[in-house]
Amino acid sequence: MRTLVKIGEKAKMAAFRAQLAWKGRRGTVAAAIARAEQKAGGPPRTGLASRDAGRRDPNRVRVAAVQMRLRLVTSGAQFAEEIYGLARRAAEQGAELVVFPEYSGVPFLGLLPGLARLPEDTTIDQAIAALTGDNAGGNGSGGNSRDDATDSGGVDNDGVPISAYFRAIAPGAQPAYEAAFSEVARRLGIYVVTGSIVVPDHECTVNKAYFFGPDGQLLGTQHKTHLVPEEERWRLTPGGELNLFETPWGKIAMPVCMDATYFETFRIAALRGADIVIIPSANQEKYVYGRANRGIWPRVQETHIYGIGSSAVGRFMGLTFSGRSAVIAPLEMTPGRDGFIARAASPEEPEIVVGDLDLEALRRFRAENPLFVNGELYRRYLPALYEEARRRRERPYQ
Amino acid sequence: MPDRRAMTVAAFQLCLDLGGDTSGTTGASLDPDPALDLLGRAKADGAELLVLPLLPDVGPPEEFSRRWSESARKIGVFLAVGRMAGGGVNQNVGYLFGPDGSLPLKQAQTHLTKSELEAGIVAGTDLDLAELPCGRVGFAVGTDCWYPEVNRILALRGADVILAPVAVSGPYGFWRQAAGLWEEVQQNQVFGIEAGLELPGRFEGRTAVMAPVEVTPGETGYLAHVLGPAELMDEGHATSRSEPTGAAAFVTARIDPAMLEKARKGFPIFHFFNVPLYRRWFPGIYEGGTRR
Repeated sequence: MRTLVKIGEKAKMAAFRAQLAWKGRRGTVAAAIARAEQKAGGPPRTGLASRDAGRRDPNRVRVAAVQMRLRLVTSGAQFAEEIYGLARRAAEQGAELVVFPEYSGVPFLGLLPGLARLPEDTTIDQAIAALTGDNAGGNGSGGNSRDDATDSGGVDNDGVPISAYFRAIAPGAQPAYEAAFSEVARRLGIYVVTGSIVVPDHECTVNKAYFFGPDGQLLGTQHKTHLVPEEERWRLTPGGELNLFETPWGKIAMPVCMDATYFETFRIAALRGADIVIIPSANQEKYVYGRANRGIWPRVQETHIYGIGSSAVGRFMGLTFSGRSAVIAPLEMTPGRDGFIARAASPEEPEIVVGDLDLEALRRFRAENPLFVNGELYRRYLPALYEEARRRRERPYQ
Repeated sequence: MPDRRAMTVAAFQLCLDLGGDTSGTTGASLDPDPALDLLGRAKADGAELLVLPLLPDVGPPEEFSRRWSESARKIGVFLAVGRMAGGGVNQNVGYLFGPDGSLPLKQAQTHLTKSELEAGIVAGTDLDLAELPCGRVGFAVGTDCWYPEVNRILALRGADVILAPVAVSGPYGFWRQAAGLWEEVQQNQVFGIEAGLELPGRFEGRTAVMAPVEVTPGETGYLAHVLGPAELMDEGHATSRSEPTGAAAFVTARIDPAMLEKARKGFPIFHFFNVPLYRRWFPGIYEGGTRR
């Protein structure tokens, strides 16, 4: 009897995985995008002289940050249609590089059976509890909240970490996610930073961003290197490297959200040659200027590069996300001397934010405003002090 | 670790009147004696730590040090003040005097603008700390406010308060301050006390006491600001240029180690350092003095 129960459970899992693979297959995704394109009146007029990477103006690029509301999806096709629609709007405005927010792949939680039918404000913990019949407590559901919220500790009642649920849907979610963005990039002839999705990486689970080129090829990926408390409780693993990608406009880095809270991220990227740093974000908090301005904006000012920040907005599974997406430059290079080339009008509503980057102007600015390097000072203390400082902060005040 | 307690601090904005000479390069010194009354008022308001701007001085540095040491002793406060390069000294330096007139901390500016380099100013190569009742303090002198390495190193070494005597060439508006000490306070979860010099036609001030946004009115990151109520100091009220005060003024604020503990517990930034990543690239990536 026990063997029959085990076989039954195995069969269920096999069937679930097969269903996921079916919902996420590339052919379905590509067909959905083709239908979406046809419904929109055919290929968009993007104004691109050529899709050929070698024939793009290396000194100028129009970029777009997609400020996006996250919505559960139940298939790769549904996801692909939404992504295509947003990217198309950006491409129609001439954008050659389009950025999506962090957790753009979290909607694939809708692949978990029954989850999409739960009330809209159901949190991730509550949803898992409902699906598994457990009573997972608390409300720790992800995002990048800095509030001191209580939560379930990132595990369900059996002690299974929330990351396991992301891993469970990965056989369907991950190929669908990759296929959707690859096909969107190829169809529209644009570069796309996908935002991110939580997926397995061997034994680890990571928050992973992708970068696709205009022929749909994968240029590379980036794991988030600085987690937030919820992600640590989910048992995610931080990335160990900051990758740079060659484009017609020079090197680009795409660390994720909280990575921008740490000057080290941008300093490393800039000193390694990045002229553009992209930050997909999902800030789980109501918009307050003081809180929102602790990431990409000051990092751009410190390093004299261009920044593109794309934010998730709106309510999703009981969480509130807020923006504001923006295209950012050093203060003196912007019309209002406020560091913004373009910025979302609202921190709460979906929007496509478009801005133009002039790489020649950036190089001139740097030549006129060189950054000072005090190598002797840095050698004395960096990186030696980090571990000790971390331990000191974790001791209570006396 | 010594017991720590809250302290009231005062940050001063001083307007230098050179009688029409706005070059600000020669002949200017701020005599502390006339300022004693003002400093005394801050003490009467409960301030135990007073922070003054980066001041020009053409006399011998020993005389500068003696005069301000005497002021600190007379009033009985911790007194931080900056001295611009001049009078035979080629560094901008921050001084912290104790209530007994001692000098527990002296710090040279460690990062320079292009114009400072061209003027022959030399950068310091170390960052030191002093122990005060409210915690450890360090200096970000002048331009150092805009270099994250300075403030990170200070915080890694245990600083809870960053003293910032500055003289900022105008225009000096909301966003430029946000890119400077304000952001360093946020990413290191420390207090910052900026004291600015006004010199019409040259320097503009935005004197303020700053803290992690979570523990400030309106979550603006300001506990006090010379230009108005702290809770209004956000992008909605940003101006592109600061309005000069035209006279000496100071703001006070209470800084309490418990506030930092609250901010750090709420979000432990240091806990999530990616040390393997930093070890991979620091310090070699700086190429020992290469400017980019």
